[in-house]
Amino acid sequence: MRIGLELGARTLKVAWRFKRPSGETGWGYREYPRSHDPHLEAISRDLAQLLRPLRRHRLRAHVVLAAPISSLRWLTVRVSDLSRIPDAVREQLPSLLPFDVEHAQVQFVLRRQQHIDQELECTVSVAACERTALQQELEALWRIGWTPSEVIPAALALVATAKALDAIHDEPVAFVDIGERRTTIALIDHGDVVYARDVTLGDDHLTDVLMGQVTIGGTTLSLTREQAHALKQHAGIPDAQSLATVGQPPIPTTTYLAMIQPILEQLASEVRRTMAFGTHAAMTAAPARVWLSGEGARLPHCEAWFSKQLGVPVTVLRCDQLVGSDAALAAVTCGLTLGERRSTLDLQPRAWHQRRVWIRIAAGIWKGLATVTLLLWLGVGIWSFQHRRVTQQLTRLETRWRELQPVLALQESLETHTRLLHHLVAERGISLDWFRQLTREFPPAVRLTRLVVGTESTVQMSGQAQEREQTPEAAVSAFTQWLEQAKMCHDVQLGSTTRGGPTGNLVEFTLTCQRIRR
Amino acid sequence: MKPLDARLTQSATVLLAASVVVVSWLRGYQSAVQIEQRDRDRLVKLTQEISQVDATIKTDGGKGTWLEHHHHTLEKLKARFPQQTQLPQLLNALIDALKTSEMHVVNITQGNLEPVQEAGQPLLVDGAPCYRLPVTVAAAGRYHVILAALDRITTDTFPAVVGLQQIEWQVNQAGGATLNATMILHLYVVGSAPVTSSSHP
Repeated sequence: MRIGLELGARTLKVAWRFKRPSGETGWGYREYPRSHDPHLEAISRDLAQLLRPLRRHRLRAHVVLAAPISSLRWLTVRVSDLSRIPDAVREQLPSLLPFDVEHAQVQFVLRRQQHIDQELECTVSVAACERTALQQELEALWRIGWTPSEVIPAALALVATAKALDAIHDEPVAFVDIGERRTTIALIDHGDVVYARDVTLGDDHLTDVLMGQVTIGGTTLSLTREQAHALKQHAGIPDAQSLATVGQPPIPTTTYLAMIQPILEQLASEVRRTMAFGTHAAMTAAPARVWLSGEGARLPHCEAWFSKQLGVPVTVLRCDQLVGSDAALAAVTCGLTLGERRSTLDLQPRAWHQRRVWIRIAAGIWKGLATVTLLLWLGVGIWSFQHRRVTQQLTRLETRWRELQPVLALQESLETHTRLLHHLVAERGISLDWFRQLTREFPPAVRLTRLVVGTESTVQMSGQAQEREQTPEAAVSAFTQWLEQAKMCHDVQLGSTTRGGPTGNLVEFTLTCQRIRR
Repeated sequence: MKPLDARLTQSATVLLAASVVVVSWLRGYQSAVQIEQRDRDRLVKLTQEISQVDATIKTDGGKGTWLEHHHHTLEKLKARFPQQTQLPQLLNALIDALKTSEMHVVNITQGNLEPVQEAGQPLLVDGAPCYRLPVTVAAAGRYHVILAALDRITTDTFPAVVGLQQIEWQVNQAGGATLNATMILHLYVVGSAPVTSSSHP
């Protein structure tokens, strides 16, 4: 979405352009009367009312603000290298700008360059506006949470609208947007704004003069602002010869024209001067046509009057087909929403741009975190749903488990008693299995004559070994090995061995070992 | 009143959102996952345990039959821990079991009843303190006869738990098959009176 914002002297205007889901471009326009209170709080309040429907888009959308009282022109400078262009431009600014350079917000962009006599001749486009007025508008917006993406001169917006309406071709033309208290005059050559300036003269000044006291036939008449505005809109710039009176109460046409003529002529004079100066300074030829827009273009017969004054055809630039009939003449506001990229002549101060970047990043982060939170709780929901299913299954199983408790209790009692029995008989006492194994696997060449087995695991043995297939000493050795291999004992320690017997084929021995518990 | 700086409010919102994410993660998501996994583990464990129990009771033809059969087994096991008051009958049964064999019982002496302790605490059987009676048996007989006699007094059918604590035997004459054996046995009984670790019954 792209939002264009124009803060007029009496009316605040906003237009926005967006893509519909179908892919078509949609437009919106809204205006809100500005209160007479010049304080920042009052402007902020009015802006808040104006922008209320768009508030949720304020950080996501590209917001473009029309610069207050701006100037734009092409300038040719000669420099030794490109890095010297800023200094060269700065040197010429006092003679270029209609306001104090110290209090101006300036931006320039290089348009063309060519080498001439060891130097670079550069054509730059310089835009500027009053910094104080701009700061005030930015501050008013900031107070309600808005920061523009860019600030551009009204002339650029005007040209954008004209291009969208196919009103610009190769021939030089001039655009005059008569606002409430400001008129933007822009000269276009080959599609580029080569010279533009804002003059503090507008449609409201006509209303002001019509509110002055006027004596008609001995009666002094004074119109209210609404009456004066209605009269102006109804009568426009009439021909004194074809119409005797205008409005209700009737005012002689000559009197009416005498009141508005000075303002109109001053305005025409400004346009004429701008055209003459611009043509001389930056254009290939004088403008062949003038396009009128803004509140002043609503005046009946204004085209004819200006055409007569300026000596060129004058046409009203209507943007009905873009933004709708409500904003038919709001060419500047409409133009702010056009264009896809950031303008190279952005007049927004760096600090303000950084503010927008800051809050956009912060907003992006917290929105991302909010999304993460949402996803987390969605996950919690899914897990809880799964948990409910598990709980249902668990409840069924727990019921079954309770039914099986008598079995488990009996099983546990059996195990306890069996364990206790084993403990008392086998662990605290001597298991008979040990003796059974001794009986079953005892080696044939050995005979025990004494055996002592105690609960402390120490076993003492005395015995005799006979010579059969091997010597009695070998039989004793085999016996000690068998005790360990058969896992009867460990740490087998042979005591004494004595050969004896009637034929000397007998060995008497003693040994100790540690019984391996069963 | 001057409104709050948007940078401040947005930054505060970021901090708040980050806190909400942390809390949502710890108290919400992680907690939900842990509870679900805990109960799922419990479900798996319970399923396995029930399957095991089902398989166990199925072998005996169902829960009723299993309970009946194993109640009987338990009663038999409990019967092997007679009351302290039945000691005279037990000693008679012991001597009878030893004498009915081919083993010649030379002498039987009994010691004092002692409380059985386990890690410094009285050993309990079904909540009652357990006692042991040391009995020293001197006998003579062949090795297999002595072993058979010991088998008889340690079998399930004997009306008490008998533990063999020590055995010493030796051949009574050179080249002979008869052994002189001295055995220390422990007869286990349960009493009703509470016991202390240092007291002797």
